[in-house]
Amino acid sequence: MLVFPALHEMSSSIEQELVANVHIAVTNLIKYIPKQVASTEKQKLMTLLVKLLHSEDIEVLQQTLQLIDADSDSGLLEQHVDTLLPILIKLSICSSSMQVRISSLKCLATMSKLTTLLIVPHMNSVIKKLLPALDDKKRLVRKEAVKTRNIWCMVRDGHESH
Amino acid sequence: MKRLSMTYTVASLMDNTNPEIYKISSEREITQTELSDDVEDEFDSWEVFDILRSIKDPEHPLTLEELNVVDKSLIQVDNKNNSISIQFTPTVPHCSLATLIGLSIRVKLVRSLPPRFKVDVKINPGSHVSEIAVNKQLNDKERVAAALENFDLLRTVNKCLEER
Repeated sequence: MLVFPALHEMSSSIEQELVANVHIAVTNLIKYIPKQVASTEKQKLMTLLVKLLHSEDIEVLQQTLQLIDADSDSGLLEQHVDTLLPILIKLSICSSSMQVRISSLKCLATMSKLTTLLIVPHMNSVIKKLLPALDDKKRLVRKEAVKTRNIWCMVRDGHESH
Repeated sequence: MKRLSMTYTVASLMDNTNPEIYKISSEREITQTELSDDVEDEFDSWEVFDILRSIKDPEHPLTLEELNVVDKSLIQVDNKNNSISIQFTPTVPHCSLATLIGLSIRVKLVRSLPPRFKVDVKINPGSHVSEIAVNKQLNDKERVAAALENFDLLRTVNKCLEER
């Protein structure tokens, strides 16, 4: 974990082209950290992951999205709901890579399962903003968009039926 | 075993206690063009069928596909003219839940299709005693909207639309 502060600092001080490399390094490292070590640093990690979602590098985005999706600690995701939702929606619609659009739609679906009280206020906005994804030029993206949007449409009925 | 006892106790309330169960179609294979970022995939009937096939029947723990209520061949998609037409087949000709099923189909499509499509949902001609009335209800936007303001009805529809 000593590497992180160093990498973090690097990303703000070096030239733009190299920043992407730093981010790739970070996301690849995160994958291999043992759970116990990660949990002590999770707060910082999550903030970093959210920041990485604004990267332009497709590889970084893919890795970050998969990491966020795999995170079983929903409490952590809940803290970042307000920052995560907008960027995930943006990626689902605007990213040039089909894979990234699919992964962020999957992430959005995962987010819908967080605490109902937290999620319901966002329901209408998410549903509205996801409309363009239903008309994505790729069928596989549309399929994922259908799944995600439908889950969000039923968020209010929530967790009683599960 | 659980399913059998459930059917037994509510037998008197159901329209169709022993529905015929159909073999389901396979999943669509992913083609090379679908995997390519550059090629645009057009909407087709299979895609709409995929949206509808897993809708649950309100009476039985089965999908509309398994009950043959929706069938790929009865779905027409005209992408250029933004129109989609669907015909569904209620399980029995006097099925009292035909409107509910039609409503579930409508709601699922509203949630899943881009707004540019004009959608027609009708009963497969000849398969229901009240098809004219049901068709009228299902294709009248205002009546559909009014129906969905009923909280319990919406709840019931949502139950049918839950993913397994």
